[in-house]
Amino acid sequence: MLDILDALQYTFIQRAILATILTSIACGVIGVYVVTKKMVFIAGGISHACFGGIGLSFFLGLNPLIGLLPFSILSAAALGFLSKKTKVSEDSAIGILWSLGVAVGVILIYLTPGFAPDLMTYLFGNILTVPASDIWLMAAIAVIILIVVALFYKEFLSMCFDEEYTRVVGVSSDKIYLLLLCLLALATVAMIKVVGIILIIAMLAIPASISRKFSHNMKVMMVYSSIIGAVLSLTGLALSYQFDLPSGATIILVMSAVYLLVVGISEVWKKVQRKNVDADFE
Amino acid sequence: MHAKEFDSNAPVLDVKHLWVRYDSHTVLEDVSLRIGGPGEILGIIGPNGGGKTTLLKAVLGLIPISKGDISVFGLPPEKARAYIGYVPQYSKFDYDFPISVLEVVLTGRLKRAGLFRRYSKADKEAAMRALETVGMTDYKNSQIGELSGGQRQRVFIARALSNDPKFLLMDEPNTGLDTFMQDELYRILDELKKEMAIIVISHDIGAVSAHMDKIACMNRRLFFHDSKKMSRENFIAAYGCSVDLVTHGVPHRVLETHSYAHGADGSTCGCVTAPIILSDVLSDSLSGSSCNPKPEAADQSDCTEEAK
Repeated sequence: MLDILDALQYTFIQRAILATILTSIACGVIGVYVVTKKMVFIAGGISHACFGGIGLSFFLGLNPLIGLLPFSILSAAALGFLSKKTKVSEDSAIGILWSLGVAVGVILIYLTPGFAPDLMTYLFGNILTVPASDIWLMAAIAVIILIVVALFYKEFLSMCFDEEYTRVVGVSSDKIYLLLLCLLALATVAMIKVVGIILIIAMLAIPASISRKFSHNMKVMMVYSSIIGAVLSLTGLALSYQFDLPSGATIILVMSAVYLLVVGISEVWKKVQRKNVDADFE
Repeated sequence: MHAKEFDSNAPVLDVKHLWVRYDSHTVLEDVSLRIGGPGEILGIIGPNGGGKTTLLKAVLGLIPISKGDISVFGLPPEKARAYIGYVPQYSKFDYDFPISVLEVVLTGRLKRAGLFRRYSKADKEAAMRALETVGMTDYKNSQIGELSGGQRQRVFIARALSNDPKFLLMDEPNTGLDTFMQDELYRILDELKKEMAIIVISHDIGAVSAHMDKIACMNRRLFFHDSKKMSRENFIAAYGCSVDLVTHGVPHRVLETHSYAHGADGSTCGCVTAPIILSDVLSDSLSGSSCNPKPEAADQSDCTEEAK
């Protein structure tokens, strides 16, 4: 344990902790929408499409996060447009975007002269290499997400529950949906450094799914899921430091283990309660 | 053609020669329908896939229409939504969704509350009034998934009422309700119809007919009648299949036979089927009713299923 406490004095560890907390807030809030609106794979599609943005940044010699931002928003908008305004079914659109983004990324990286050294960082995340500028970006993303969710809370709630009725009362649920996809794209960009493109889905879905076991109120779920996300991510980070494991993968392992535990306990709890009811009848 | 603003003197609903096509498939064919004012419940019945829901969605402006004209309170449908309450089909929600009864009802006032604002005190009071109308105030903090089917249906009615509509559209409100709860539903509707026009659509004629003031049959075309009189031809034309009329009993009964068949002679039918009062079927058919029966349909008595 002492290793970890010692580690706290290093700037890169402090940054990693800050980045983890900021990301947990962003994805805790958005994750609740992702889970309740059942758009986990839309999140997967957007995050993989982001690989194209990373490829583009390498090709043009930019900071990858700069290429990521427009690319992720663009892919979210494309996804929303394809599924809402054309007859392409949403899961086909997701699948196409998913592969297309990766393909574009692979080709651009292939065309880039020289070796792309930190590609793995973007695929699987490496929170220990987060520069200060990225922290500012993550903070900005978290703030934007919180503000937009606060402003559009009732519209998001209505649209997620019943898109058609939202239209009936005269609010464009397509536009609200598109806005939510854009927020999801922003959250994705914030998460890429922490867990990487491939592991983002779990980080969005797990804290929100756990919070669902404890509350039926969306606001409360958002608070729980942010806290759960932060605690589990920091636990994963500590373990990865202690045992010298990749941080992103360790975070996901911790989250998955806790999720399985929570699901297991709640199932057993339900059975016990059912037995009690049966016993009352006898 | 349409007025600019809400006109309480304009007919509640005026549908003129409406056609709706999806690709090459015609769903609604030359439908005309007019509702003058509040005070009545119009029941639209017809088989599944007959275009009932499509008609409601066209009236709400949710789907593009191919030909014809719809005006609601003198307005085009999209503009009239603020005056319409809509209770959609019951089965299509995710009932695990983290939302409370009061939050569901408040979404009826989403537009009125305005962007960037929370629901106001007035919004919450309107929602509570709507919940009171349907007798669900005690459940305002329950999660929607904790309710029974009938309670949920009442919550969705409250959501439609929260915006003080002048016109209520209900899509298959009987689904999932037992007979007792259906009676309760129609008791609520009987109160509501004093203030608003109501359309109820259902594939189950038995469940709706006793409570409707007017009935229309719908199967691509609409056969609209100003009274509860139903002629054999109306049913045949709408359902494309013969209908059993149990004659010489008072009251007369109509038991439609399509896929919801009861006994061919009606007398052996053990289920609760609401009777439709037929003033006189015979004279109706002799005087020549407004709709033309498909001649071939009259022979389709073989689609009558036998009683259990």
